[in-house]
Amino acid sequence: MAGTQDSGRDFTGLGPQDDPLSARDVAAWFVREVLPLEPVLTQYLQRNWHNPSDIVDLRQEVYARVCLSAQKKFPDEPQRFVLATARNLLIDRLRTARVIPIEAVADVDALDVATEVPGPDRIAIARDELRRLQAALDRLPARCREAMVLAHIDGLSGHEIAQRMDISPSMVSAHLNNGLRQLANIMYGEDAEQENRRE
Amino acid sequence: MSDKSSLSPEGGAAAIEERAAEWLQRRRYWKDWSAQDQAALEAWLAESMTHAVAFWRLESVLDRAERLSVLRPQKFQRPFGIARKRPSRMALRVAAVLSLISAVGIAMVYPTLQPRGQAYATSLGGHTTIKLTDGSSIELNTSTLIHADVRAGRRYVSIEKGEAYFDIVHDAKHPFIVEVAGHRITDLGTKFSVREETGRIEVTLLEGRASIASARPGVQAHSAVLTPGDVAVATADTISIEQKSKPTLAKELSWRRGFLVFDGAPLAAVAAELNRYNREKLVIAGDDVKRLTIDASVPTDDIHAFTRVARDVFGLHVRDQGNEVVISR
Repeated sequence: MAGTQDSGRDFTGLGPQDDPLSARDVAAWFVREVLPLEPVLTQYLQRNWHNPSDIVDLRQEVYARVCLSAQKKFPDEPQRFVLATARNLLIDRLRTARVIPIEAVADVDALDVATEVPGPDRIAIARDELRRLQAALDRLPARCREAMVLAHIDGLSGHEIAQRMDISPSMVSAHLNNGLRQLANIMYGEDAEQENRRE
Repeated sequence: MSDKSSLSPEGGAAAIEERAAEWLQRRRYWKDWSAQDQAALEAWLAESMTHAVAFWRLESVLDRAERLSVLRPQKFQRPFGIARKRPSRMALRVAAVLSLISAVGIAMVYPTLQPRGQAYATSLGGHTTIKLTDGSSIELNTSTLIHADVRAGRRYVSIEKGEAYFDIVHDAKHPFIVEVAGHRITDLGTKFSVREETGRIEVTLLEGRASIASARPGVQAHSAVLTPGDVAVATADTISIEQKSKPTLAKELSWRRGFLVFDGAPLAAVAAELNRYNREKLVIAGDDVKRLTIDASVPTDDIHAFTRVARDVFGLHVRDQGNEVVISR
């Protein structure tokens, strides 16, 4: 058995992009390595930041910083890097705010226990994906769920969904828009792990 | 890194996410996506990394949601969506979905970055060749379902289940991408076959060069480059490669000529293989019988050619029970 294994980005020369760290590569890396860490990151931000309404903004900013840096080089340990970036961001924010003492931010090393654990079994999650998608769909508001089911299970287009649900195309857009955002929060959110455990 | 460059230019993550969702749903669900839209989207993405990350995050969810399409009732030999169902059956279907899930198990569809294009399928025992607009062809074996999206600047196929042989026309600018069971096969002009079976995939490369890589979010990346004669077997977390001789490869692809060729194969393996093609199923009873080996070339659509050999050469007992043919001592 002559198996070869290397990291995803080493497979170059075959893709359309010659630059190994193109936006496409960064996007793929982000989806593969960073997004699964969202529950850990969110938890870290919640524990260490005083204002819960800032969490979504902070999270997006961490993602942006992580990806800007990944354009130059992918970090070896994504989880450690993501949490370190989060800590730096919180410190930056505290410095500009000058309201909260720096000690309010826990040292990222305090969370290292989590970085050693691979989290919920990744393969199990992949296999369980369809079940999780179903569970996530079930948590959407009724009309929103109906639009998502028509789009993804029945494979209807936006116009067909409008006809079927007897609503305007812009309402369909709103439902699908909302459905997508809520699915993201459910699939990547903190409760994703609980969702997994529940089943 | 400058903080300012990545900071949200227009009021908060929620607004950006809203905008990202708007782009994605417009591209995915409506049929009026134009080159101008694409250019506008690209400009928006390039404006700020916060735009890009919000977009990628939602896009990955949309991709994952494509898996739900396995729950769609399938029409063979026809693109989906021709037969429309009445709304009253919707609720029933959603309820039925949950009971289906365990049956679907790990043989899931792994999604694409964009709408998936035309569906092609064969039923049990089916065999058909598809000519694509770029001159490439795809040969589908029994019980196979693929989606092909081949148009200007894009050559993309996803294999939802089954087995297919690809003969791809060279186009260095537009790699041909095949996605199957969480793996992505990328090639520039080759002949290769792909077989998917409950999450395990086998890729056999006859000519040219191709790469195979894991394409699933949340799974450790792995990839390999294939050269002619390579047979790669990939599961969720491993890829192994074996070099096989030309004659061996020809035997493995003999289904293209309507035959299955076996070399010292246990009867159980022969039966399992033939059962992929026929409604009438072969059942081999008894462990000692299962282990008997055979060299044979059997038509895919004629299990009786095989049962005759079992009876006359091995002196086994053949019982036809309607849906099943049981072979025993």
